Amino acid sequence: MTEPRAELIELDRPGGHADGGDHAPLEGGGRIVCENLVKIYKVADLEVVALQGLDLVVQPGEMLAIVGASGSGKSTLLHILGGLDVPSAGRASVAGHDLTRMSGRDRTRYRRTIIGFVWQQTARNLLPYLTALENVELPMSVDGIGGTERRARAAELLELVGMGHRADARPDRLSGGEQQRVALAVAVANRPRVLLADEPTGELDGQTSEEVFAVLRRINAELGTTTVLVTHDPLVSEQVSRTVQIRDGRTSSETLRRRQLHDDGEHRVTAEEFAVLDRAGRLQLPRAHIEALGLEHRVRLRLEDDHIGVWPDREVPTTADPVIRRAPQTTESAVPAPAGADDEPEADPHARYRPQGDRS
Amino acid sequence: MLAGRLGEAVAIVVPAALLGCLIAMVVVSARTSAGTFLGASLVAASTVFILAAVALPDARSTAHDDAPRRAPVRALEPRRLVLECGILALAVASVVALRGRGIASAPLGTVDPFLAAAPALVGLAASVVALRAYPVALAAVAATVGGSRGPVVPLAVRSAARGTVAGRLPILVVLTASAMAVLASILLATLEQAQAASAWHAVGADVRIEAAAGRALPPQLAPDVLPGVATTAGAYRFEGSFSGGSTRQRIVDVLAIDVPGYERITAGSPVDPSFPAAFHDPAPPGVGDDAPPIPAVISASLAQAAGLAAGDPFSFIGSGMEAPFVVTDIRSAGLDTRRQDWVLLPLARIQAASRRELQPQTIYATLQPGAAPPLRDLVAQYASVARMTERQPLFDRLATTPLMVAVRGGFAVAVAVALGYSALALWAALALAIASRRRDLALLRTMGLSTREVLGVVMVEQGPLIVVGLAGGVIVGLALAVLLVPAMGLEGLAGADPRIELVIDPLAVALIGVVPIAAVSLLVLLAAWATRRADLARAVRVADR
Repeated sequence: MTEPRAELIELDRPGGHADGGDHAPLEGGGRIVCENLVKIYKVADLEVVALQGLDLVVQPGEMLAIVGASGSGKSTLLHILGGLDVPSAGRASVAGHDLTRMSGRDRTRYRRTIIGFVWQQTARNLLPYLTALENVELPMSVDGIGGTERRARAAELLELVGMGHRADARPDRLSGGEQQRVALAVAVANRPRVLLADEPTGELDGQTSEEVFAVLRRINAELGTTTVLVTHDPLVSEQVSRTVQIRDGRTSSETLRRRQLHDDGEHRVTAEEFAVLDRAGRLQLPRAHIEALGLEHRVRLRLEDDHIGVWPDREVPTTADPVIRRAPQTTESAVPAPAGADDEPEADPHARYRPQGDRS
Repeated sequence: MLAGRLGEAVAIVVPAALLGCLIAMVVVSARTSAGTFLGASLVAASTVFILAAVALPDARSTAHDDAPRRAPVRALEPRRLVLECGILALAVASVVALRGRGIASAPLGTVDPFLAAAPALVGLAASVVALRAYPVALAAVAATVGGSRGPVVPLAVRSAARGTVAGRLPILVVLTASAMAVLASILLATLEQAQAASAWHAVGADVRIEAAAGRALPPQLAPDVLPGVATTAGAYRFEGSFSGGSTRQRIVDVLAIDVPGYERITAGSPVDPSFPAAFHDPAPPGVGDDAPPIPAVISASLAQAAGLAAGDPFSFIGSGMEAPFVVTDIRSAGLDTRRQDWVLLPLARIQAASRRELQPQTIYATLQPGAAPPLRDLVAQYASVARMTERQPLFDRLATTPLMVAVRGGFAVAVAVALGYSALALWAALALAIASRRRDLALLRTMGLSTREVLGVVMVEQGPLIVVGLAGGVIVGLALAVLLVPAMGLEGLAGADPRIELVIDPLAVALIGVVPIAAVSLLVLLAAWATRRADLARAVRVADR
């Protein structure tokens, strides 16, 4: 196996103008910061905690996937970031806008200029009685841009997503992939700082999904729009440089993908997954790890020089303290094992925390 | 699917027809006949047929739908075209037949198929035309507003132009209901005015005090001394022996009236005396044969019998009036005269010619509110020689005859049902439109449209439907009124002296337009309020779930 050199190039970062086009990356940028974000829904007499202290930082121009099982809170996070919902507590900021302190009017303005949306159902992203060109013009019309300017920009965006030849077609005459590409043009029509996509390829076959992701990457690269994809499909997450896993309303792990230049001169993609340590020092262990070691209720921690070891709580304590015993240069502690970690599929527990193999 | 739709239609229409029939019989209090149930059955069968016909395309498309993503290609739809052409042809034929034959010729109590069918066919034909013209007009409007800066109007117009035929059916409902309301308002206003005019012509003023036959009113009976008696005018009435033209000693009614006083009384009323200008001339000093002739208006029948024309002289024998008379005008209708042969004269000239004070035999008076009871008491003191006739009670009697009450009640119920059904249909259409477009509206909000702008889109979108329906309804209602009212035999409801003239009450017509617009606006506001309260995030994901 060829060893990679230390030269790392992150995937999908805005790299300038691939085709020499005149789509200048946005200045400023759409930095996203979530700190201890909490969202509680009230359903009948029950309170449902959708987000419980979620932390997340997305850099301007980054393309990020948020994955998680159904009910993990990823869509709630998307709605909060999109100004469709209001957090119950914590802090959320997008492109300098504090989402917890916005009035209704500010929120409307925020959705109009800062955020672009793409939703799962391809046919539902567009208004059926408008042509592709008119659909792209619509957000600009909402923002009060004049007819000549918006028509020119709409045509330009349709070219960017490869739909210039279908500008006069209505959505019912477009395939699902074409509809989604037009929807992407609609989403970035007002030069938003952040593009939020909720399962953008959920209705598409593999090849069409690839085409849509190619357009997404192109938009991200050429327009510099911070892009957040929400999906439950692990394959989708391979399309981006960083994947954030959400479990039980918290970020539980992150996977970083890098293109590495190997000795043979080829670039290969490597993926490395990390557990996320939140501001309160909490760490979620992957379910596969928990099951592999039979971790239950409490675990033992041992602080070594450069890492922390985790053991099942089966050994008989050797000191008077049943919870913590100290050894020279190490610290062990027994802490409760995470509960409810039962919604995350894991094929190979040993695949975690090490490179997942090379991909050309 | 078609069988299911047919079953649904029958289940809804048959009870509705029976209920409508029952309400009609109870409200109108009329005897039922075979025609009543025949008519109700025809309406029910037609409705079921229409509902089934509307469902047919859906049933067929469901059976052959192998490309759900593709919109159905708009074909010429030959069946619909033939159906619509048939309706138009029938409407034109019914109107032509109706105008040629007239309505009043139908025997009383029988079903008149022309009268029953023509208004419905005209309304249906107008709706068909409106439904066809509506998208074309909207497409033209959409082309003109496409470049406008704001999104509200272009979005609404484009959305409305794209609507399906089913979505445009409120036009038909609104058009039919408003046409019926306009026709009913015109009929009732026409009847009311005819009855008021009839009462005015029968009395000649608010009140008329008359002396017993051949006697004069006592001088002490002076209404103008009572409070609230605004204006009075005296009249001297006698039977004269008319000689003129080819006629000698023909007995005629002669009425000499206080011209200025009576003109003040009748000002602004349906009674227009239109006295000749010569009636206003002051009495000349001369008497006897040297005096200038006294101007007179004579009845058309008298003029015809005597062979007289304007400018011809005539005289009265044995009346004590030596002055000559001259025909100034000939008219078919006179003032409070009993014979067909009558002569109307200015009282001032008669008094001058007779050289004595003529005590009036009739006094006309205008009353202010509350003045009638004291006047009644005064006249009652001279009951042996005088009697009083009032206009308002006569009008009230005409307006409250059982037949008139039934007609008014029938119209009111019909209009209320039509407007209620119209409002219900509009509400249903609006609710369905908003429900089916909840996600579209939510999508617009995610693009940054404010709630107000979304509300504007919905309102502007529904506006053309209402405006076209109302405008078409008013036009159809007016056309039906012009076509039908003169031949409807309303004279039987208008009193002893019926003069039917079409009356269009602009206020009523405006109300018919304003009420539905206000109702729809309120419905849209409520729907928009509900939309505003709805969870935007949830609305966006409705389709995804």
